[in-house]
Amino acid sequence: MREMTDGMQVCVHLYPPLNTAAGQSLIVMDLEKENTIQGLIDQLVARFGPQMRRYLFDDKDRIIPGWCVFVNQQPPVYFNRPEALSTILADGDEVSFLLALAGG
Amino acid sequence: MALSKNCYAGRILRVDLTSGSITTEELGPGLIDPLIGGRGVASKMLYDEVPPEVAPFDPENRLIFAPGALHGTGVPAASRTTVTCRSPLTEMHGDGHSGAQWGGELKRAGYDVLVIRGRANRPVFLSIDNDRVELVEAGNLWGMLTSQTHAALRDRCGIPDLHTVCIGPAGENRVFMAAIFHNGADKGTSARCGLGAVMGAKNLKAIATRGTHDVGVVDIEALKAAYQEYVAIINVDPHPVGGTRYGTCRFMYHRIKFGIHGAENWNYGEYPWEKLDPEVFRSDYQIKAAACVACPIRCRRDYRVVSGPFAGTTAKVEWETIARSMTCGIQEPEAVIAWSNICNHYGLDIEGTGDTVAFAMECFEKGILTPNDTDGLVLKFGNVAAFLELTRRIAVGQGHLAQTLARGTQRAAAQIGQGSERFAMHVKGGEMTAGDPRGMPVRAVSYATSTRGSDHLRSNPYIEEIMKPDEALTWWGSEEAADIANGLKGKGRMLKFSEDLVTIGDILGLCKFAFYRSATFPWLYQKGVALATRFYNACSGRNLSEAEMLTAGERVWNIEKAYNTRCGATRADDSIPERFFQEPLKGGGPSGGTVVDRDKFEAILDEYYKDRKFDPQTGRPTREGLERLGLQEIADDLQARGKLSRVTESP
Ligand code: SF4
Repeated sequence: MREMTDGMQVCVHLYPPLNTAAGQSLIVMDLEKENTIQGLIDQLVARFGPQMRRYLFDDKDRIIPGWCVFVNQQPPVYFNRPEALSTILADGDEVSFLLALAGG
Repeated sequence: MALSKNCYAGRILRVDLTSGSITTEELGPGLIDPLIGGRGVASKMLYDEVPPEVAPFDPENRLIFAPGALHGTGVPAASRTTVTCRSPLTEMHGDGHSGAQWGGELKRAGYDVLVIRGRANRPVFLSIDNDRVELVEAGNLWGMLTSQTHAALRDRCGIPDLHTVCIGPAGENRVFMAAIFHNGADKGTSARCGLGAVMGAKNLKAIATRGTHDVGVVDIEALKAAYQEYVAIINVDPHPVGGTRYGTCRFMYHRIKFGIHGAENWNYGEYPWEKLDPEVFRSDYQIKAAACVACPIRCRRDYRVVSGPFAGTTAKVEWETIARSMTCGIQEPEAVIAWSNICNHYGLDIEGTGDTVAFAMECFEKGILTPNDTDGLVLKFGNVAAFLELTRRIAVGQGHLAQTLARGTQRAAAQIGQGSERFAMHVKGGEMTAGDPRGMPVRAVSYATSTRGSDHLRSNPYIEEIMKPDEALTWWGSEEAADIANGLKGKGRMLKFSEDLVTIGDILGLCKFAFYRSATFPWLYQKGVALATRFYNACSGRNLSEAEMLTAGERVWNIEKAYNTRCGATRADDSIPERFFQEPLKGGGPSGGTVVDRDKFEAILDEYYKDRKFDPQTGRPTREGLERLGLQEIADDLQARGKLSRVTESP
């Protein structure tokens, strides 16, 4: 187990199609301490490349508003709210990405 | 053994309950070629056989059961059966769609369509066992709940896997929100438009069906290839993921995202929802995850309450159950499950009933109804006991208020008066569904133009949420169409397309969630048009193009529109409750303070009519529009009745 000094680890659940882009559904990401959801997304794109970007962002480089994120199974964070991306993460957080799309 | 080489059994079964006559006739190319099956064939038969002179409870009204053309073939999520009649709620075209095995069983028995007319002089059920079809006395079933009826029929017929449709007490009592239930309480419901009341008016308690033939597929290799492509899409499309995890309860997250709950009779957009979080339902109450026939998404959910006053209560719960509970101010998951249990067992449509109870609650909160009127029920929003008890009373017709509400929100408001019409939330007499349209003009128009009263499944009112501006430019001629709140141009065209699109699903019997919802427009088109057409061609042996498939959807829509026009509908009926135009959405949140902008609404409606070739002044079809779709005899009929418009362009 790595000693956490300047960094932290978060556990990320990736639902389709993000798991296709990552090649796995559950990953551990190393982040700087007090990083945000925006920082996590940046790291995901840096690690898994253009396919991850394609699923998360539209062609104007805006995050697709249908995505929402659960942190530790708490009520979801929605990307159509301006404050959403600056939500601060903590060491050991469990983060899940899910699309909040309509239908019924 | 298959009755025919393709996906059609090739026969219509006709039952006259008045005379007791049972006949069959060929389902020929006259209906199949232009209309394909399911809702398409049923809508045309309703037009041909039930003129406006026939009232909804008249024995001459028809109850038409039509499984989609692909039902029973093994195509994924091809599980929908349409039931059609003239609706007592709207007095216009009415239908409901259910995903259950009964429709496939009807086809396996050798019938693509079942048409019921007349009225039995005592309660009966219809028994269909392949070619052996008979009417059977059902006095001992009358009064039973839907679950009891299904179980009793299986016992009585001695067939453990017998498939049934039936009504509960609500249908027997001709409650205008009564539904038809498939295989008991929790398997599937033909819910909207008062179908169960029409079945009750015919003294028909149930239809018990067994079929042992196979449904044919012409080109199994082509079906397999299309199936592989379908699975490849749903493996990358994020839309089904939430359904597989949470069932339809997952749509809660969408309502939170936009703040459009429609809580407390469509007053509040943001509303306390945390106790109704899909994760709560999944972790604390879920006992079963299941699928409709051949569906890999598996979004059906049964829940059970383990403790408290409702301990032991189980029910199938859909998102609309939760949504309409919130419309009544309910925030407790146990109450939602208990309410679903009552509606499903007594045979009520969740959506219509929820809105009607919410309407009564607002009347009570405003002092229009008092405890004297409610037989002591304190009809405050969020009062669980009153919510459940009033629902039961509506089903069984107990008390004056329940009998008034049993005729639906529109009629109840007319009877109660005192300004309650202002917050009677319905379109054409059909209660509201889904999310609040304030702040989303195209969604508002989609509720208004639906041919069976307010409805989110008659189109894809969410299509703009998944479209990118360049796609909107290509398809609708304007990037604006992809802008949810502010765009205008192209939205009418987009709505028209989405109506034709999802009509394909009802013709073929494909589930909307599985084929007509997606995270991106290219996937939506690929599943809903391209693959749907390939599946149909593989199963039928026909060779339709994608454009022809879309035209079939458009043709069916026009038949229903013509039916409603013949019943007296005009542009004024293609509207939404005044509350949405005039009262800013309460509760704050992303859509807080918004109204539906009337000018935008009318502008989108104008563009929509123009694209449909309807007359923008009257909202009626035109000869040009109908003949373009091969519907000349309908144009002649409307003209003979003085209801055909000549104009296609705005003045
Ligand atoms: S997506 Fe859900 S409702 Fe549709 S066919 Fe599959 S299980 Fe049934």
